[in-house]
Amino acid sequence: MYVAVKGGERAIQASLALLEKWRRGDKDLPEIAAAQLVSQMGIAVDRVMAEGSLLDPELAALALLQAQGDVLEAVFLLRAFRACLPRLVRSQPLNTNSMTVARRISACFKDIPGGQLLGPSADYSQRILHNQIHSRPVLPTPSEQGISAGQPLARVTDILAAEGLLFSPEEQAQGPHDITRDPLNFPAPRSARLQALSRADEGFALSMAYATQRGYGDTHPFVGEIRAGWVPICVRLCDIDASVTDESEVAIGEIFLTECEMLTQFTVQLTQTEQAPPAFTSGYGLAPGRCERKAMSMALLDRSLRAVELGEPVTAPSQDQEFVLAHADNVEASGFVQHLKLPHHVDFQSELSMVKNLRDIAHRKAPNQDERSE
Amino acid sequence: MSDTLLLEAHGVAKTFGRVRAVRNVSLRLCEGQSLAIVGESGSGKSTLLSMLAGQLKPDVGSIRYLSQEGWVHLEALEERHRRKLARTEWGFVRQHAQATLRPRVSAGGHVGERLMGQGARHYGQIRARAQEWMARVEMDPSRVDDLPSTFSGGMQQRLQLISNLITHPRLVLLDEPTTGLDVSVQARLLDLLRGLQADLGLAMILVTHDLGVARLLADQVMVMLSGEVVEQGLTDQVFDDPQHAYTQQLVASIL
Amino acid sequence: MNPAQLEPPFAYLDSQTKRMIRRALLKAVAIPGHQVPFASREMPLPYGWGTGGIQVTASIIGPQDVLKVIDQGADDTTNAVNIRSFFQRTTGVATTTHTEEASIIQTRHRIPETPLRAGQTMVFQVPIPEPLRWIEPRAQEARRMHALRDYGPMQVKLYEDIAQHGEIATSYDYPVMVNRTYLMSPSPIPKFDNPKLHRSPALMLFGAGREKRVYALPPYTDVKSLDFDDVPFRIEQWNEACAICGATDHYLDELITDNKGTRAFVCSDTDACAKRQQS
Repeated sequence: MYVAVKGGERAIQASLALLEKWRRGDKDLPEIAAAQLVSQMGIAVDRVMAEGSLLDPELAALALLQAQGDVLEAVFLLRAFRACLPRLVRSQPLNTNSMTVARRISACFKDIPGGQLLGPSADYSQRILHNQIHSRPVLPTPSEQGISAGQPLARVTDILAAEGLLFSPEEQAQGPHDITRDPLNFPAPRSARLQALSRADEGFALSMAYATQRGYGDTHPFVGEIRAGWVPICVRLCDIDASVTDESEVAIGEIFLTECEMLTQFTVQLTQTEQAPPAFTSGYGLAPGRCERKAMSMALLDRSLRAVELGEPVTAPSQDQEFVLAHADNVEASGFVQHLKLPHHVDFQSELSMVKNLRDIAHRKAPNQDERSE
Repeated sequence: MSDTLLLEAHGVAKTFGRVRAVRNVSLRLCEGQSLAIVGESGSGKSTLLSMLAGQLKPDVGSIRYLSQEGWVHLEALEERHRRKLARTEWGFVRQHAQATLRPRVSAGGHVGERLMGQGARHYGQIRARAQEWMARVEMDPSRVDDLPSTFSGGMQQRLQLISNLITHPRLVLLDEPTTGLDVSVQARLLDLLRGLQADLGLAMILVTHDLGVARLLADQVMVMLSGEVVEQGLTDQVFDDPQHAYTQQLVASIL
Repeated sequence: MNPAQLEPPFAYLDSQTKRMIRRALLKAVAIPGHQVPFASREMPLPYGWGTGGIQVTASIIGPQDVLKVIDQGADDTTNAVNIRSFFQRTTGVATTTHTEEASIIQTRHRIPETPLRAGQTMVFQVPIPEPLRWIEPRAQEARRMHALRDYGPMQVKLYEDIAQHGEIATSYDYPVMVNRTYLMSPSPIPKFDNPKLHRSPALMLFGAGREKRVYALPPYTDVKSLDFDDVPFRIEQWNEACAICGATDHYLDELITDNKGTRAFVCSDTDACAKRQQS
C-alpha cells in the first residue's frame, strides 16, 4: 500500500540550517563586516540600494552578506524590508545643479565650463587583473574635492536649451507618480516610467538600451552630460512639522547620485499636422550611487520610450512601454521565473490527463486520415 | 437597388503633416449601390476609405451612416459602437489577406468569429455555416479546419471576404481586393463578388487603381487626384465620355 | 538603524497598506470577476510565490480567525508550510489542517474537496490574473476588450482547440464567465475544481501580487466555464481510486513509485483523504 510522504516542515528546517552553514563558509576565515563591503565593494552596495529603492548602505551590505553576494537576492531583501516602512516626510525635488561634483564629463563638446573632470573612473585604465590590490586612497569627503557646492557647473543641456536647440516638453501640472503607491497602468506618465527605470534591473536596462544602439529603435545618442556626486536632500520645515507654517528648506543630509543626459535626434512631430522646428531631444537617467552604466542605459531607454509623445512610430521592443516596464523589475522577474520550482504537480496532472485524452482522440482519427470525421 | 440613403460624407478632409491627403470630398451612397473610387497611389483614396470605415477621424467635415438604430456620425462615434458596427453591419476587405487572417486560426475559426462574437455557441452549427459560406465562394468545405497559410492568395482573399459577409453586412468596403492576384484568379474573384453583391444586396465602396475592376463592379465611380475628386458619376458614362483631363488620361492608358 | 529592533505590525503589513488593499477588495466584491488594480507590496516571499494571496489574507485576517494554508491541495507542501509559518509568526492566529474548522483558507492551485460553508473565505494565489493574456498580451487592449465585452477571440480559441484536437485543450486555469458579465481566470486550479466556484456559499478572493490585481466572487455568484452547447465542459476523470482512502470522486495525484515507472494514485487534498480514511 502506498504510504504518503510527510515531513515537509522538517525538511525546510534542515534546508535553512544548511543554507546558513554555506553562507558562513570556512570558519577559519574572518567573517566579513558590513562596513568592509560598504568601503571596499561600494559599487555592489550601490546597485543593491538603487534597485532595492532604499538608500541605506549598511543595510544593503548586510543584505549582500545574507545573500552570499547574490545581488538580486540582496535587492529582494531590501525591498521586502522597505515595503512597510513608515513614510516620514517627502523631500523637495533634488536639485542636481547644486551637486558637489566628483566627476563630470561631456562627450558633446571638447571643453566645457569647469572643464572635463574625470574623477575616479575605470574608463581610463586598462582592464588588467591585478593579483594584488595595491593600497588605494580612501574616497575623499566632499570637502576634500576640488569643487565645492557653492560653484554650480553650467549644465550642457541648459546651454543648448538657452539657444533653443533642445526640445523641452511642457511641464506637467501634477506631481510625480509613485509606482510603489499606485500601480503602473499603461500608458504611463513619464515620471512613472523614470521611476520604474531607476529601480530596474541593470542587466535588462543595459540590454534594452544596447538594442536601441544597434538599430532597434532610432536614437543616435550623444552623452550630453554625466555628473556624479553628492546632492543635498532638502525638506521644508512645514512638511516635517504640520504645526509650523515656515516653508523654508533645510538640508537634512546628502546622497551620492549619478545623472546622465543623452542628446539624440532632432525631429519632433507634435501632432499629425504640426512639426516642431528642429532641435535636439533628450533622455534622462538618474540612479543613486556610482551606477554610471545604469544611468546611461536609463537615459537611452527614457528617450526610446518617449517615442509616442515625440510622434515617432513604435517599431522596436525598446520603444514599447508595456514590454520594457513590465519586465524591468528583477524582483518580479526573478520571483516569477523561479516560481517554476514550486510544486506544480496538480496542474501537471491535469495536463497529463489532457494529453493522454487528446492522443486517444488522435489515435481514433488516425485510421481515416483522409476523411474529416465529426 | 433602393433609394434609401445609407452613407453620406460631406466636406471631408484629412492632412498628415504637410500632406493634404484628402481635401473636401463629399459623396452619397444608397442601399445596394456600389461606388468605385479610382486613382493612382497618393490620390488619397485609401485614406478616404479608412475614414468611411470609421478607422480614421476626418479633420474637417462629417460622415453619417444609417445603422439599424438610426443615423450615426462616424466622426463622433464611440469606440464601443464602432467595434459593434465593424463586426456586424460593415465589412472591410484589405488588399493583403495576411494582414487580417491570423496564422493559427483555421478557416472555420475565421469565418465563424463574428458569429461567436455575437454569442453563437454551437460548435457544429458554426462550423457548418462556415462550410456553407466556403462552398458559396467555391472553396472546398472539407478544408474548414485548415490554417490560412495552406491556402493560395486567391483563396485567402475569399476567406477574408466570407469572414466579413457572414453577418450579412449592409456596407462592404474593399481596398484593392484583387490587386496582386493572378489575372485568372482576379477574374474569378470579381465574378464571385459581383454575384454576391447582387444576391445579398450589398452596398459596396471599392478602392482600385484598375478601371476594369471599377467598370465590372460599380454603378458609380469617383476619380481622385491629389486628394480631390475631379470627376464622378455613373461608371459607364464617366469612362465612355470622360470630361476631366485626368480621367481622359486614365481611360486612354487602358488598351 | 538596527533592523532587529523593528517589530512588524500584526500580519506584517502596516495599517495603511491593509486599508488600501481592503478598499480594493471591496471594489472587487462589488464587481464580481472584474480585476481591480492595487499597489502590491514586496513581501518576505518572492513575487510569484504567493505574495498576492498573502497580502489579501494579511489584510483581512483578525486574531479570532482560524487559518488553513494549502498548496497543491496539501497542508505540508513546502510553500504552504512557509506561508503558514509566516502568518503564525506575524499574527499568532490559530492554524488548522481541517477545512471545516478554518475561517480563512489560502490556497495555491486547488479548492478543497470538503464543501465550503457560508462565513468561510477562500484566498487564491494567482500568477496571471488576465484570462486574455495568451490571446492579447497588451494590457491596454485587454482592458478594452473587458470593457467592451469583446470576448469573441476567446471563444475562437476554444473553437480552434476542438477543430485541431477534438476537444477544448485547456485543463487548468480554465476561463469562466462570472455573473454572465466578466471573463475571469479562476487561477491555475484544475478544471476539476471549476464547478465548486458556481454559487459557492463562501467568499472567494483572488490576489495577484506581481501583476498587482485583486478580484473576487461574492457568495452565490453564477460562474460558468466556457464551452459550446454541443461540446460541453467536462471535468477530469480517473480509472483508479485513491490508494490510501479509496476515493473515486477526489482529484488524484499521480505518483511514480519506483524506477520501473510503477504508478500510484493518491488524493491531492490530504485533509479530505485523511477524513475519508477515518470514516
